[in-house]
Amino acid sequence: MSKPSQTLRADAAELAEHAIRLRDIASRLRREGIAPSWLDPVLTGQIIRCAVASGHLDEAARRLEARG
Amino acid sequence: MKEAVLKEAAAEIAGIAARIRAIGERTTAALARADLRGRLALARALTSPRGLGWAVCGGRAGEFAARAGGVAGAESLAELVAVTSLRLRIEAVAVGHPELFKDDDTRALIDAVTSDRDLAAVRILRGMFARRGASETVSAIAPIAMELLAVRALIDENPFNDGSGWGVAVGRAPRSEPLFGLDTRLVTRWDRGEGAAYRIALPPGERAGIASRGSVLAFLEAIAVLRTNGRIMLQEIEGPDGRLRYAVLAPGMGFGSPVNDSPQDFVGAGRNTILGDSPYVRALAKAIADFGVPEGAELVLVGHSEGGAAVMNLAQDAAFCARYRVTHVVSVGAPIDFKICADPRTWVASITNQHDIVPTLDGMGAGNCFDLHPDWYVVDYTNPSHRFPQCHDIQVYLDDLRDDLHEEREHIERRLSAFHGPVTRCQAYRLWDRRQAPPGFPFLTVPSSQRHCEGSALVAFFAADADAAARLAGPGLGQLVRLGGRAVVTVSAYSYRAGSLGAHDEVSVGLLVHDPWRARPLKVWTELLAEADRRRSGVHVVARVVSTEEAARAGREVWGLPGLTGRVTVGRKRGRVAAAVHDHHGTPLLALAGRLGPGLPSPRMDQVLYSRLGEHPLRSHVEVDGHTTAHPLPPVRLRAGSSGHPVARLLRELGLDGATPLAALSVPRYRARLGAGTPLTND
Repeated sequence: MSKPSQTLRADAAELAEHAIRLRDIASRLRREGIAPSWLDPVLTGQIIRCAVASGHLDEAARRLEARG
Repeated sequence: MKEAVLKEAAAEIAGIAARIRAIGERTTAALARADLRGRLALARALTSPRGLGWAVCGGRAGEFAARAGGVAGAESLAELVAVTSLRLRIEAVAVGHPELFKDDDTRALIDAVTSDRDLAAVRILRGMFARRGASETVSAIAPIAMELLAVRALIDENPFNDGSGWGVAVGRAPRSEPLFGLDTRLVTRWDRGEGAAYRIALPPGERAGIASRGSVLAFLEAIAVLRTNGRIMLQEIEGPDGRLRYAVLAPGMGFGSPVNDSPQDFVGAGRNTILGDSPYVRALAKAIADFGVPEGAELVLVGHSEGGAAVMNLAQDAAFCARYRVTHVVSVGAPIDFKICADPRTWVASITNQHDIVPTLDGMGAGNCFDLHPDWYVVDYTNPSHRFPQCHDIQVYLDDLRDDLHEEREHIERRLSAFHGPVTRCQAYRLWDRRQAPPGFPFLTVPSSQRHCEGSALVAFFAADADAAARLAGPGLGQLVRLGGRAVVTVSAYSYRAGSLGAHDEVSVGLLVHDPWRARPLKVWTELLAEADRRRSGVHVVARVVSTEEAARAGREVWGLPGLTGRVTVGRKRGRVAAAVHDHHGTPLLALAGRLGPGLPSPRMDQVLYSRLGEHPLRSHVEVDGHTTAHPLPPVRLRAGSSGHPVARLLRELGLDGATPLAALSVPRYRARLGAGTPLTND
């Protein structure tokens, strides 16, 4: 596995982790009853984008690996 | 509690935003090494509006592309996450400031800014200013001003202010202002100078306001007495253990011209906020040295507003902290969040009012969610009745600390207990950006010792090697006047047929210099047309050979001029000049000879001489009477002797052997009066 594709894989994994962390933060604030009304839809959108971006980086890593 | 939880979440989200941006940078870097298929996949990852958004960044090309995307209105996921963090910070501030969301105007403003509706935001702000006035409007938005500006910077179409938005969002010092993205260092360029401090006496009425014992309230009261007109104070205090300690009291920025001669001006405030070194800091260090603070002595530095930033800059100067032991810093209403003390043992107290916008100018306000200095004692308090700019006033901070912030004041006083004792010495200073000319300069009182002469004179102006001239000039008598990168050197030849020093001849070599305080590269040429007593620039004589011992001694002892004796002949006949200098053995040292060529009537050849007599520079005027002719590019040639005599060597070092002058001034019937000169001192 080439170094750029390794980095991309690691970044894809990191983005997936960020999605989880954002979800945790949203839940924590909701649980505490202090989440502003706008937070849930905004964070949900950003969590989805993290997950999608993670997939994009995985795909790019696959392409780089295929090149050999 | 609610505020702390929201800020903790905001900090965590800001960290995620920064890491997503870093992923964008790494992915952008991978583009360069990928093949076509790889590049297509990477480009998709970097530009997909469903994923990272417009995430191209990092490197020169990446930053260009990022800015192009910003102009086109493309959003990046990292920026959106950062905006979420900033919005949570606003929510956190609103816990302590419920008026932010209860007030229709501020609520509408927050909505407009966070939904990228710039025009609506401007309309709301304009309405607020019109209905409620500037003071109330600024006070109302001050607690969240930095967050609002950062949100706007991140989501607007101006790519140049993105860096500023990022700085505020992730807790780094912004390098540009958030509205237009102008580099913050631009403003600092106007704040220049080596810094100077002069002892002054306070008027009796003000002296009465200075407490005789050390305490935080006493220090702040003294700063209030000093006001913001360029003055500071140093105090020597005998602590409870009998040791002498020192307090440095530094007020903030004065109102008036944004750029003035005092370090306490607008550009100085900007520089002290952004950079670590400034004329204010250098002037403070000079005052401390002048006060005679011994090395290793313990210091408390107390500053308000710009003064707080300046004293923090002193505290983060490793060389200063190696010389003195800065035990405490008390900063009031100052933007110091990104300062770091050189000595980790220094205890710092920062007192800020959340309605005061000045402490937020470094990007960190009431919504700061980053624990940049866990070891500092931070008092960030609020009072909804406060209005800016009144709440920035040192007197308001002093009243708040005395009347409202009891617990905080007692805590600070406990930490400053080593400074609770009688003030044994106290000195006020006036600070300047640059060393100051004596009052009235150049209109100085001239002593009556004079001489009258009759004879002829020639002054030739040469372009000489600037480095050699700078070595000859040394420090303290003004910078060299330069012309096209070259120094301007005068070679003057006088024949005095009568006078108070008797008949004698003289040849001297001088450097054209600015006044000892400041270079004025353009004005120096126009002021040559002015009378000598109104000129600032002058000639610094570096070599002088006269034909009599009496003239040599008088020059040395009365005017501080160099004075060697030798065989000097100065003559003029039918448009030709011939001046020659030989040593006592007949070895040639200098010869200036040739036709003067065509000439034009010229203003009087009055001169200002700068020399050094004893400790101080001396300024003397040569008042000339006699018809003066100017000769442009005269075909006169200067020859330097080949011996090791200082005069011959000096001419060779200046590159003047064989040189022809740029111009010459001649006075065939020369009468001059040389005043005894005035020492240039500010004492």
